[in-house]
Amino acid sequence: MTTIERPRYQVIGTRPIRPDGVEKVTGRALYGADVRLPGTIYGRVLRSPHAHARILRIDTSAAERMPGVLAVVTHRDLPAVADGIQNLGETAVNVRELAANLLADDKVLYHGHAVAAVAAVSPHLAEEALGAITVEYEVLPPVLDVREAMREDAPLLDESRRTKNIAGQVVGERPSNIAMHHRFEAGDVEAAFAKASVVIEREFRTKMVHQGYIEPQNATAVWNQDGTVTIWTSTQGAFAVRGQVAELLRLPVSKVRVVPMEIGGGFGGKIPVYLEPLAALLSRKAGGRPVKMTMSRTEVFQATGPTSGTWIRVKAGADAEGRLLAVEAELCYEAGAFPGSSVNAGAMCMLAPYDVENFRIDTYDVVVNKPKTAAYRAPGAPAAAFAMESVVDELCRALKMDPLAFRLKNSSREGTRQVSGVPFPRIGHEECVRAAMESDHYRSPIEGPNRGRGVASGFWFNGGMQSTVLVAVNPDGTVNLIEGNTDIGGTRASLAMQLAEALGIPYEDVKPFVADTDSIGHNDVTGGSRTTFATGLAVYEAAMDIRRQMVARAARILNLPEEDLEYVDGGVQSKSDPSKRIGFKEIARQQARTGGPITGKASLVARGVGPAFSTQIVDVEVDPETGKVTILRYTVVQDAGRAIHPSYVEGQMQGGVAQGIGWALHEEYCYDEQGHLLNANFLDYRIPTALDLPPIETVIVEVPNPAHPFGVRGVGEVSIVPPLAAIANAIYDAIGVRFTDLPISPRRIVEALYGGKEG
Amino acid sequence: MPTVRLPALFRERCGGATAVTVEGSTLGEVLLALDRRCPGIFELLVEGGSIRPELAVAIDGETGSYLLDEPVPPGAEIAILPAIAGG
Amino acid sequence: MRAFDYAAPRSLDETFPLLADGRRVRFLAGGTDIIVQLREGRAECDLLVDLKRIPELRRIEIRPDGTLAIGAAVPCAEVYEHPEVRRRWPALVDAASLIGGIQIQSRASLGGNICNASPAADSVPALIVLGARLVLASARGERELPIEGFFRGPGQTVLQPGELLVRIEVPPLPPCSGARFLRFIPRNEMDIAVANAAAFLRLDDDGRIAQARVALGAVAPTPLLVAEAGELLAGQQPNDELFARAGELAAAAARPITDVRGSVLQRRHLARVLTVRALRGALARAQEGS
Ligand SMILES: Cc1cc2nc3c(=O)[nH]c(=O)nc-3n(C[C@H](O)[C@H](O)[C@H](O)COP(=O)(O)OP(=O)(O)OC[C@H]3O[C@@H](n4cnc5c(N)ncnc54)[C@H](O)[C@@H]3O)c2cc1C
Repeated sequence: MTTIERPRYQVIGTRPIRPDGVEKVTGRALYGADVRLPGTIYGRVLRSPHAHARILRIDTSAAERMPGVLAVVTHRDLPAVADGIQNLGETAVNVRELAANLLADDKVLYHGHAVAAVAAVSPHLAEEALGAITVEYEVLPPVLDVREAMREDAPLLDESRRTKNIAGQVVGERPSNIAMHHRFEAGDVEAAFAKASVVIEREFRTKMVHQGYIEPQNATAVWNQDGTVTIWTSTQGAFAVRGQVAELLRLPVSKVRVVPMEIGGGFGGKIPVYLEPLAALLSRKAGGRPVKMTMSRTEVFQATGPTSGTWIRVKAGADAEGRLLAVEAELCYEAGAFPGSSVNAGAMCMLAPYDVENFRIDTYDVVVNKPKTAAYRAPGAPAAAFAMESVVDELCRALKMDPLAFRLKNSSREGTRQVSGVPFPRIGHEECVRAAMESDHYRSPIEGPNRGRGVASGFWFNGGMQSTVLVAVNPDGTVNLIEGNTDIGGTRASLAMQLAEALGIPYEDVKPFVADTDSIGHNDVTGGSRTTFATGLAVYEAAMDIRRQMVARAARILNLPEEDLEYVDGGVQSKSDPSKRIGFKEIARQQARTGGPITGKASLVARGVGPAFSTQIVDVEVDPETGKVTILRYTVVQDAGRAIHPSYVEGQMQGGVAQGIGWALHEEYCYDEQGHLLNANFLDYRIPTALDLPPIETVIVEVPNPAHPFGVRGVGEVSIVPPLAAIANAIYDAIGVRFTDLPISPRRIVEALYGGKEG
Repeated sequence: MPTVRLPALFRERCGGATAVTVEGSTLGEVLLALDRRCPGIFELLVEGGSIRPELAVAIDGETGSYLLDEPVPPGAEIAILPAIAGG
Repeated sequence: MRAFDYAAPRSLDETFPLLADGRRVRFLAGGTDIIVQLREGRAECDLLVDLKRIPELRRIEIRPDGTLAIGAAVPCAEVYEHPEVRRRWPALVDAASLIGGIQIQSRASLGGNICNASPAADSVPALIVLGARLVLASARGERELPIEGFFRGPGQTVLQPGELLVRIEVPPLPPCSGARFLRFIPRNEMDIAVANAAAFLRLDDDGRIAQARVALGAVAPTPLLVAEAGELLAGQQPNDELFARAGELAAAAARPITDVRGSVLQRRHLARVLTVRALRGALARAQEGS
């Protein structure tokens, strides 16, 4: 459905085959696992068996003496790096903490924290060598839960840590696990609550969950004899890897070349480095042999990702007419072993669907003895939306108001101030809610015992940042599109389509290529739903560069003044006499004679990001005897701005929902009291299988982003935001039990229905 | 004149004001002018000549990493917010 | 993973000497448990003996007296694809077709499922209620025992050093009888049972229950035969109320633990729910057959 009339496009909005499709389905595409260099040796990581311990001594001598073991590294092998925030485009990291996460310094802070790494001539030997390393630990009591960690008497991960404000200045007097406290506030919350006729206040808990990409982290590195380092890896951002490795190893960025391989999923989890610097250090110690490292699934769960476990309190009040008057909230997010959760993003997302004048949101970033969290699809937003959208559902029930009507009535729109104080540009939440109300799904009744329906809305900012593209016109009239964003979700296709549209040439004539860090200018990560938007802008500008050159070349071939020529529909023609025309292919063919190769380029910081909203509807059936929840029907409505390739937009919408369903019903990190992660495998960490998901119906709403020539907004993340609440709301509707803790697993449902306590 | 909207926990430095209108035609000028009204706030926001990396600045709704010489239109609205990351 | 030796004998006679020299031995049937355990360091051995080349362990046979004899290394897929097994022992098909997905079923054996001795093994409750017997062999000869007597605890069995499981023998189902196996997993595939249950019912001419057996898995250190439930049911007219009481007895017999896969309360509750559902399924099959 379209809310604003769409210009007539040739390519945009069609559904061509992706350029990387054949290679991928025939198994020819090269992933990190396919990197095989002569003389490769294999690296493995020794990990902490404890959640919290002081390292008293590491003895690697026995491992070093083993025949076939070529290198062993510990934290001592990392150059000393001072505290300092490095901006990786999408993520700002503290380099000292990044180093301490890479290889534990004086303390291990979570089960699975890397302590040493070994390289040997075979992976088995490397693993055996790990067993020959002696580490003496002084085991300390761990703190695993965000609320526990906030207590004054909690074990401290870092005795020197004081609570800071968002600008990084110390505000707390005592040592604390609370790394950051911030507040978003406007209006008069107390006065507004006093006017409310309904006020709901609830506490919510969510567990750490993992991105669950199928391909584990991997890296192959060579420390070349000339002092340069080459790294082949699976990453969302080759330049982000380059930046981190350079900082950690104290090398100029120019000495590090990162070759991004195809990527088997990232969802935010493949932005930080884990293996790349280790492989490089091991290679240096092993005399420059290539070192290949691949994580096991257990290591992926123990030491990469996840996103925060949270505790959230929300109090919201509405008047009798259903106007949302005030919201007060406290968000406490587990950052993992080092600071840096997405709690502020959560706070800035939770009220985004609403126009509410009075609010106070306190945010706390809290360290716990669990892995350092990484970005995960709309980082911070799903948990906050779970809390807010559940409370809104309760408000609607108390007011006897249709939950979509409530959302429409209170919807944010252009000019509405976000909690940060920044007014929204043109956004499409109202359009999403309306489309949901008009959907076949919402108009169909839900009937039968133990069945229920839930809805929820969600928001994500989307990102802009830096992009560079190069375009080279081939003599046969095709074009090479060279870009620096790894293709996770079909960006080769979405960028090639924008180039084809802008040049007026067939999509098949564009050949996209993802370059390494030595071959193109800087590109920020494929993340934050930015690539189709921001790199798309660069593609558009590079196309305009090509068009200008095409006009100049045509002037020479047609022997007409440039001022009389214009670029129209894949060719150049005379303004005064349109019959004088030359096509793109012909100009391309003659480029050698008209001035040489035609290449275009664009580099930019993308401005005018178009935020995204999604509204979702879900029907569930609960088996009250076993607690099993079956998703009967699911509809995701999302504002894409403009769907360049609708199939891939739908794929993103469905993918986020699938992850959200897993988060709502099954996924959680399970720890014992000592802080051991108990389910570091895909058997007991349950992501949904194909059999657990219904067909997910999609409704693409198009409220074009005025700042993008084709109206693009990012589409990759927002769909994961509403499912947690939508499903909880549906389960309430089905069986009358309000779940405020995730996941709403069969176990939790059975315990809620039949006693709660273990008997 | 541009208006700077202040994060809640910085408002006490400005006598509790949620927003302050000051002179200035670049971001740096605005923040220095703000500092004269709310002493100490410049140092809070700027480190080594740049906006602190933990922070983001929005000028008329456009969030970005700006230099201090970024031009600020008259009547612009400037907000200071935490930097965020996407997945 | 530590290095170990590998042997693939072609007969039991070739096998026994390999087991006699004191090395720590593990067997490889489908390998779907043991390979994972070896790789993760949860199991160790000096010698891995591959059983798949021993013809008598790879045979399914129905004897003239109607007994089904399944070689210990026969993969699940061959069991549930066997037309006579499908017709006569559908409860076994219930179980064999639930173990893993198609890839796993094409390798995983019932023998491995039994000898791995997981309390949650899906084939075991079905085999218990079907009255299966295990035939164990060593250099000293063969011995035989009912399957419910095989388990000593998680991962522990009555197998002696030098001994292996060669066959599972399932008696024919009597007339007017039926059996059903069910399990509960949180997802719809690729999960280990939080609890599982099987029931067998034989009806007399009046439609009363002449004989009943109920077995549970994943709710105790070993799979359980719930004799009390069988005693309660025998001689009674089948109905919901009776089945509910049998379910209560099953829940009472359960001695579950809390772990990542389920809690005490949930497992005890599921023991009841699954017992009732298995009884209903067994009754339907018994009534179909009569
Ligand atoms: C992805 C996946 C899904 C699974 N799903 C299920 C499931 O749904 N339900 C379920 O119950 N299990 C499941 N399993 C576990 C496993 O597949 C089953 O237990 C299977 O039946 C084991 O049989 P196998 O032939 O592969 O045994 P193997 O791995 O070959 O052997 C298992 C153990 O039994 C011993 N052993 C094997 N044969 C003999 C013998 N003849 N005599 C003495 N000892 C012997 C071995 O030494 C070893 O210790 C799953 C496993 C995987 C990897």
